[in-house]
Amino acid sequence: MRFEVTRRDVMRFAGGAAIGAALSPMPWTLTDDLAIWTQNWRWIPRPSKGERSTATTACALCAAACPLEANCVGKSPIALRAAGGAQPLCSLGLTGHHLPWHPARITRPQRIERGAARPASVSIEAVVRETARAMAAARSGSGSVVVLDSRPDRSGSWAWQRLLASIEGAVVVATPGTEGSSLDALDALSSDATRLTTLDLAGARTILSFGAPVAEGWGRLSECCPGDVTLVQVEPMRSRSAELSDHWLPARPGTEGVLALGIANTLISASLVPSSVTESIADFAAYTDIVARFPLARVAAITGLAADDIALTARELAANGPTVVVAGEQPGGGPLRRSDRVAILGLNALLGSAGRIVDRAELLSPRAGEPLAPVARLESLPGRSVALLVIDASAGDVAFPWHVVDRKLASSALVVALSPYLAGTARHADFVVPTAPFLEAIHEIPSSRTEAAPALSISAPLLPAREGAIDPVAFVRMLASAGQIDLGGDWSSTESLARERVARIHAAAIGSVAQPSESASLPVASLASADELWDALAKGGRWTGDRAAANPERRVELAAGLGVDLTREVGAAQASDRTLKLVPRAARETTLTAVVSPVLSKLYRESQLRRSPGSATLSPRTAAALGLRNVRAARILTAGGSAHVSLSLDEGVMAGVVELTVAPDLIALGDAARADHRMAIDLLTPAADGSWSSIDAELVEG
Amino acid sequence: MNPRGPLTFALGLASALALGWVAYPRLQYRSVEQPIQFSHKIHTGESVGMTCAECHPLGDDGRFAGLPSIATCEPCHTETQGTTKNEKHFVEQYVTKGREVPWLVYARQPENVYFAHAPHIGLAHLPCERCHGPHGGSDQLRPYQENRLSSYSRDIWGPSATRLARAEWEGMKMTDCSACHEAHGVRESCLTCHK
Repeated sequence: MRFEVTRRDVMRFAGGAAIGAALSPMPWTLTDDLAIWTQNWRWIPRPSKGERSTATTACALCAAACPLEANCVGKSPIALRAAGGAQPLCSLGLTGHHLPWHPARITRPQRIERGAARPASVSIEAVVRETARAMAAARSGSGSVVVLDSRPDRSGSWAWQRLLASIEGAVVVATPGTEGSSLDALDALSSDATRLTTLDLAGARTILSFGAPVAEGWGRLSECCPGDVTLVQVEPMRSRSAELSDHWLPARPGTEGVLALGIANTLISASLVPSSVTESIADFAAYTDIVARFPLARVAAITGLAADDIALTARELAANGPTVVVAGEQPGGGPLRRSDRVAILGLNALLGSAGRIVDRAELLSPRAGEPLAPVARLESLPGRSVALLVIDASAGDVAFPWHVVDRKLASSALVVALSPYLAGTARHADFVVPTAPFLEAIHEIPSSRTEAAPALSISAPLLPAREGAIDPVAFVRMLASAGQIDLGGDWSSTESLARERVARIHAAAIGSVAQPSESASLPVASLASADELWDALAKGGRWTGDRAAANPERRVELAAGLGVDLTREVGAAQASDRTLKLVPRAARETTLTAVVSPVLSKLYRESQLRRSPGSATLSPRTAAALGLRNVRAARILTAGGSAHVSLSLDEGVMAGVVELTVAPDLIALGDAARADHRMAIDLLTPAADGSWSSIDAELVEG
Repeated sequence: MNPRGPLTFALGLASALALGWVAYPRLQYRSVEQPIQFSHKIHTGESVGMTCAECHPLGDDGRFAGLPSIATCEPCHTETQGTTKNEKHFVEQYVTKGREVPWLVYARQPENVYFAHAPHIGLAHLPCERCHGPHGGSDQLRPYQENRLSSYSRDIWGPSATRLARAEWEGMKMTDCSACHEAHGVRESCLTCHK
């Protein structure tokens, strides 16, 4: 008998085999095994083996400098936790030991050609040569040299200032959006413009926060204000700080300054400002005239808040003092407009907190008496004037729209970044110099602009630095050598300068060290040597110096500081009420670093516990008004460009507002970089004063 | 009705079932014999009467010693005990030469996992058998089976390909750990066990 195999036979056999396979364990175990197999490719780094031990250090991932205890195996940290009963770590700190192995980590200098698909490795000599050439051109007058510093007051910051001192017009600038930069507006209030001021938060019973992520570690407020402090949060978004606050005032984006003036109006008209306070305000009459233009009904209409809520808040602030009013940086949104910040911070004087506007006691520099380049504000630089920009992101990064800096760059400007990662701000550079990340090198965490007393922590390495990492201070030395600039001294590394600074603090015998394992602080004067102080700091301790004495003679100028035509600005704000407002949103910790652990991908992209990178959220009401109720993907258009976003609806989002998740981006989470990759934050076009906390936008289907 | 159609279908079904239930499980693992044979039963039985902790102790600092070193065996095995070939080989090749036995560990956890015995024994008071089964009473060491794709020990998945109707100690997958934690109301997070 002849048996001919037909196509139908094959199909029947395949059908039976498919069902048979599905009824056997083969496909299920094979799927499991294959998944595990992909986790064990030979190029995937293996955790080391060896003795288990613990080590303490300080977290260098943000200015909070939390003391850490690391579980180590074979001297490699495998788990981090808060040391000495400190507050639990944030998700970034908890997974900080993953960062040295992040896929975006680089160990060789990179050149990024515009339009090229991939960056190319170059030698450090080539980077130094090109940078020194740009420096020499700047010295001959072809433009200025600017260093963007993501963490001012480090020894590395001092080294840059020392190098730039020999270049006419060169300045060091804090990276836009650096924490505490909002407090710059305080200087505009002080009658003595030569002194840097800050707010003394010690002893405050009420904090009125305009956008500052105070419940997420901003400004170390939790340490300044333990116990029962009332927090009033003014913010258009239901952020973590808004959720944890006692009162949340969801003012429309861009109307925060108007709200501050409305509160001021209530305080003055209800005679809640004592005469002793009015005497400390040099231009009280002029200020009263300005705030009189902001009666409650008008402020309520502009801000979208109930007039009664504003009046009640003003009365609570006056009754439940001491009150401190802070203007902070919304995560990913940077500072508010300068005029708004002046209006907000001026409330401190009105609420009798003038004594809390204090001179900022400066941290001792590593070396005394050496010439240093000045520190400037980015907005003070002329447009298209910067010939060489160095981005020092070795100590961390700050999320900001590149337009803020780009408009200051000359057309042929050279941009050099120092960063452990080819991610974040470094992706805008022409050259990237690899530095050692947190846990692989000494990192200093000095006090931020939000602290009244100088402070210093040292994050000691727990891992050996990987070959190829360049010390930022050594890079400064290389540039000086190539440019034939004599810097003097024999300092050549971050550690050598940091040790000199610690020795100066010890010699001055000022302040004390809080150690994670001890309840009481140790006075510096009781330490026998600078090495003892260094050891205490390297084990997670934090040195805090003395606060500047309050100046009872200080007089503030509120009206002069405002210095803008508020009526015109308010009119513009009302006119733009009809447009959609784009507000950047992110968790604080993800805006202070170029990368996060890829493990957090589960948090941001799989679990939906946090909003996904580049996703946009708006209220169902706004979506219906825009005809986007059933749309899952849309295109956002701003003056800075357009981008496709996934869309989600949330009743908690304010009407007329679209919240855009700007951090972490996909590269920060470990995805491979693409030549056309664009960070969501770059959609935000900054205002003339460099702020980008909210902008007009369009949202269309597509 | 032409039986050819159902027969062809049944042939495909039977072939796949045979492949999935018989051939694939054999292909999935490679077997490796232990360097020497060892009888837990003799050591823990009445004649010797040792406990698990005598060779696998938990130190004062909570650290689990794992497998005993040759120094632990030496006091009794300086000279051969009995006449078996295994004993002779053990004494001549390992005890006399002071070499450690390269045991293949059935319960070895994957590279991405840290497992601490201390909280499970010290705090939860789990008996060894809860996870290792009646291993302490075995007379022979079974071959070590290693998954050809994942390189994991077979004891991680467990002896049953379907993982159905298995004893509570069979299998050491993450879901097994989580199920036990859940049953005992013990909280867990990713980084508790994973590196």
